[in-house]
Amino acid sequence: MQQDKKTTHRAIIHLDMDAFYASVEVLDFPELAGLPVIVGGQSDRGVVSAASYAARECGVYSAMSVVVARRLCPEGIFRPGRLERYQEISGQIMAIFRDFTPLVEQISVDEAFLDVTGCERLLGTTKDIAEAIRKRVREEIGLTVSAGLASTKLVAKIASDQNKPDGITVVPLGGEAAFLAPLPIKRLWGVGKKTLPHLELLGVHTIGDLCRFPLEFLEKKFGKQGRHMYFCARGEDRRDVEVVVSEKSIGNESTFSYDLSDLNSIKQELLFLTTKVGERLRRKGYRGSTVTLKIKYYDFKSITRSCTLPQASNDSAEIYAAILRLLPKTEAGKKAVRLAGLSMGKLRTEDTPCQLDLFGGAEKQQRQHLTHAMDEINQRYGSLTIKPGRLTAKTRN
Amino acid sequence: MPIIVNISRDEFLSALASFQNITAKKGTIAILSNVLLEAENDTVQMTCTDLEIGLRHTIPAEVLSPGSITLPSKKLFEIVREAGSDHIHLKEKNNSWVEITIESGNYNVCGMESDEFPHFPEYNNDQLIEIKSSSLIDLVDKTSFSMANDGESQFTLTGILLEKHHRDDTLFLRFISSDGHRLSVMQVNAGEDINLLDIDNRKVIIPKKGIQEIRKFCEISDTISISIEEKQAVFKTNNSILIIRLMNGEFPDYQTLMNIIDREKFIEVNREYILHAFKRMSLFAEDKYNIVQFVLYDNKINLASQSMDIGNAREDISVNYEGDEIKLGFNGKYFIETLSVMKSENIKLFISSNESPCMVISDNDPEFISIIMPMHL
Repeated sequence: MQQDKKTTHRAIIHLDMDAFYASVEVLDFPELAGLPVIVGGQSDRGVVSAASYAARECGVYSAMSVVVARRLCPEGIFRPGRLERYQEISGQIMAIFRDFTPLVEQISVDEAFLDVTGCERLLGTTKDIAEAIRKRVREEIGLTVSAGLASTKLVAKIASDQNKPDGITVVPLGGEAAFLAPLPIKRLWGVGKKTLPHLELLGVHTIGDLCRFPLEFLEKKFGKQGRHMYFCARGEDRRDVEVVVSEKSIGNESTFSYDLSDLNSIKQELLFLTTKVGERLRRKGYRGSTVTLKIKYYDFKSITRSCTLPQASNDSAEIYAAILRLLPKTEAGKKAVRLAGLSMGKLRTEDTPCQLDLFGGAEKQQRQHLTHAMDEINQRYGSLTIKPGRLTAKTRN
Repeated sequence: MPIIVNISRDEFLSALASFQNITAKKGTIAILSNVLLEAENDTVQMTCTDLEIGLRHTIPAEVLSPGSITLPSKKLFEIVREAGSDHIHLKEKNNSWVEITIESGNYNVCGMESDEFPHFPEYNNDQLIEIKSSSLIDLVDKTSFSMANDGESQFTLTGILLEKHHRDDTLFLRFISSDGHRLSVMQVNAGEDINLLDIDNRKVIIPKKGIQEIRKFCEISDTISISIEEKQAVFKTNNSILIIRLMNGEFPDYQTLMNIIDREKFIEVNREYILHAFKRMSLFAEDKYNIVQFVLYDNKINLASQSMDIGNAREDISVNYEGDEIKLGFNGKYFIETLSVMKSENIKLFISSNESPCMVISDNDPEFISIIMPMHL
C-alpha cells in the first residue's frame, strides 16, 4: 500500500483563508477596510486570535497578549470574536471546496486540504482548480484565500503561506526539496522552540541545511522526531487527505443572568443544556462516552467532574442521568453557581461498531424511535419545540 | 489479661494469607485493616472483616495467657511469611504493643484494642446444609468471569444471582451472572438438601468480592456447609466461617431471554479449534471491544479482525451450515472466556440473526449455558 502511495503522485491543494476572523469583521463592517483590525477579546486578559494585514504591519500576530498588541498598535481596532459568525462563513467556504472534490480535510475553521488527484481531465490542471476555487470564494463570499499546491500535505501547507495574502504557490512534482531548501528551518513541522537551538548549534538555519545530515545521525540525536524531520525536510509525507476529522467533544455551557443557589433551578438549566447537547450529538451522528460537568461558582472558581458511560451514548436522558450522578460531587446548591456546562467527549461516529445489550434492548429501541421522532419535529419547527416537561416553564434564553 | 500465645507458623500464615484481600480495602475505619486475634482454650480465633465480608479461622495454639488484640493484617502477614521458624510467639505488652518472637528475632508491632473491632455477624446453625466444594467451585468458575465490573452496568450485575431450578425430578442449585452483554448460567445437582436453602421468592445476589472469597474458601475443605439467611450468606467448615452480606436489588429477567432463543438451528464446531481461532483473531482486534467479525455462510464460519495499527487476520472454519449468510460481530473476549471454562470436544452455537443473542452449549457441559450478545457492525 505504501509503495502505491509513493508511485501514484497526489495533487494536493492547501487552502488557507487570509486573516480569517479579521477579514470576516471587515466583510460585515466595510468601514473597517484597510484598518488595523484585531480580533480577540476587549479585556486586557485575552490574547489576539487574528489580526488584519494592516495590524500585522505593526507587528501584531495571533496568540500575542492583547496588552502587548495594544502597545504595538495603539490605533488598532479591537473587536471581540464572533465565533458563530466565523463558523457560519467557514461552513459556506467548506461547501464551495466540496463542490470540487469530496476529499476535503478541514483542519480548522479557516483551512483545509483538498485532494484533487485525477480531477485534471474534468476540471483542468491543479492550478486551474485552485484558481477556480479562489475565484468562487472571492465572488460568493467576498473573502480571499491563499493556496499551496504540491504533491504532499506538508509541502502544500508550507506553500500556501508563501504568497499570502491572496496568493497561490505551485510546487512542481519533484521540486519539493528545492522549494523547501531556502526556507528557514522553523517553518518545518515539528521544529519548535525546543529543537530550534539544537539545530542552530549544528549550523542548520534553513531546511536545506538539514538535508545534509544523514538519517542515522538525526535519529540518534533527536529520536523519532529526527526521523520525522529528515523526511519532512525532503518534502516526503505519506499522509493522505483524511476526509473525516472527528470532533473531540461537543458541549454547551451557559452563564446565568444571576447566580443560582437553588439545586432544582440548576438541574433545570442542566436538563436544558443536556437536551441541546443530545440534539447536537444526534444531528452530527456522534455518540460520546465521557460526560463532563462544569460548574463555575459565584467566586469564579470553576471545577469539572466527569465520568465514563458504560457505552457511548447520544441519548439525552442517559446523559442527564449521568449529569445528575456528577452533580452531588460539586458544591452546587451549597455555593451559588454562576455558570453550568456539560460536554461529551471520546466521540465516535454512530456507525462505529457497538456492543448490543442483552436486557432492555426493546425499551432502548423504543426510546430511540421516540427521540428520533422528536428530533425530526424539532428540526422542522425549531429547536426545543418538543422538550422535556420540566423545561416548558423555561423560556428560551 | 495480656494475650500470650505460641502458634504454628504454617497455619498462622495460611490464615493470614486468606485475609489479605479483605483487609486491603482502604477505608475510613482504621481497625478494619487489622486482624482480630482471640486466644482461649488452646485455640486462637482469627477474624477479619470489611463490613461486607467477614472471615474467621480457628487454629490450634499453645495459649500461655488468654486474651485478645488486633494487629495490622498486612504487616503481620509479611513478618510471618518471612519467618524461618516453625513457631511464632506473640506476647502483648503495654498500650497494645505486641512483641513477636521468631527464633532469635524480635519484632514490636503496635496493635489496637480488640473492643473496637466490629462484632462478627450472628448466624443460625440450624439452616446450614452441606454441599461439595467441587460443586461450588464449578458454579463459581463457570459464572464468575461474566460478572459486570463496577460502574460498567447496573449495580446488581456486579454480583451472582442464586436460584433453585427443577428439571424433571432433579433439583439444581443455579448461579447466574451477566454484565449486560453476556450471560452465564451454571447449575449443579447438589443433593436434596438444596431444597432447604432459603432462596425462593426473592433475589439472592452475592457481590463480586464475596464470590472471589467463596472460591478461595472452597480450597479449605471437601465439603462446605452453607445457608442463605435474610441478609447474609454463610459458608462454614469445621474451623472456618465466611459470612457475606447479600446485595439488595433486582436482577434482570434472564429467563425470558433464554426462552426466546431459537433452539432449532445450530452449528456444531470443535471447541478447542474455534477457541484458538478467536484467540488468534484477538491478536488483531482493536480497542476495548475486541471486535471479531463472524460470517456464517456456505458450510463455513469466516472469522476476521483488523487493527489500524497492526494489520488484519482472517480464518475459515468448516461447519455444517446451509442457511442464509449471517454476518455479525462479537467481542472476541466473550467467546474466549466462555469456551475456556467448557470441557466438551464439540460445542453447539445457536445463531439466528445479527441482532439476537447467540447461545453456546455443549453435551459434556450439560448444565452450562452461555449467551452472548453480538455487536452492531
